[in-house]
Amino acid sequence: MKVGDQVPPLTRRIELATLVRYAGASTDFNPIHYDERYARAAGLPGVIGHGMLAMGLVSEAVTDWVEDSGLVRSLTCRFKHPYHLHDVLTVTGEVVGIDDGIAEVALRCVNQDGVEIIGGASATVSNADRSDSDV
Amino acid sequence: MATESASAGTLDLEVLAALEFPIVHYEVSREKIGEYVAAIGDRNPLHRDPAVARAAGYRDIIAPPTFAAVFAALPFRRALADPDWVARSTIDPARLLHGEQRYEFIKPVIPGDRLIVQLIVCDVEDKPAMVLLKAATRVDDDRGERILEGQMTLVLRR
Repeated sequence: MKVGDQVPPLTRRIELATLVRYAGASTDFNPIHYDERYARAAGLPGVIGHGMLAMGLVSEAVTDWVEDSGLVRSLTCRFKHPYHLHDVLTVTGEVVGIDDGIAEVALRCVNQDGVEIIGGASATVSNADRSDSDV
Repeated sequence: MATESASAGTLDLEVLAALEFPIVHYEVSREKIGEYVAAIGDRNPLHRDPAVARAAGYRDIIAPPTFAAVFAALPFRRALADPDWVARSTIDPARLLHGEQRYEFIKPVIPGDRLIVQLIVCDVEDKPAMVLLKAATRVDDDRGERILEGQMTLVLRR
């Protein structure tokens, strides 16, 4: 692993079924995530996706890349913009520093228009000093 | 936009700063990890296949890092499910958004882990259109080993 290494992009399309499944799995049943009428009454433009689902995709991009998800030490995400049904989310990332075997990876998640859903995100991953053949 | 009604409630900073959440005991199951990875579309075999996980040096499958979303917010979710708590809190759940989340993963989570989840309010910040509520999560297993720490910022829209 070295500074400048790219995390392979991860892309996922969000449908109502995606959010309903995530609500069940996470037990976050806030109706703003699946009930259009409730979301509008709450002053939102419509159903919005779970921030934690988008964070899950950010995490998955990292763990698909390093394979051993137990190496992920920390993950920080800022939820900057809501995402909606039929949006296509893409996560990208890059190694921005390595210190004492710990890599810092800067990450973002954008929608199909390039709007940042999650920005200023970062992950730290240990064993950054292993050889490329182990990655 | 909406006008204030007497029943809508107004965010009370002192009440928010003093909020208390129940301590939650949570037992991790293989089925719940399976449900979670299926929901986010995660295909990593370490999260699904015990043989692969053991070959990598783990005792069993490990949960993906953000499986924390399933248990770390439970004290808050339990509180929100209690109408009396919500009424006292001055929070309108319909106007609540997640602003920021940080996790530090200290030990991988595996099936059978019995977790103890605690949440405390750290800071309440008054902004023109919202209040930011910052809270810290601590998750230990039942042997007292720290599993995870988290910080979340909740956005309470006025």
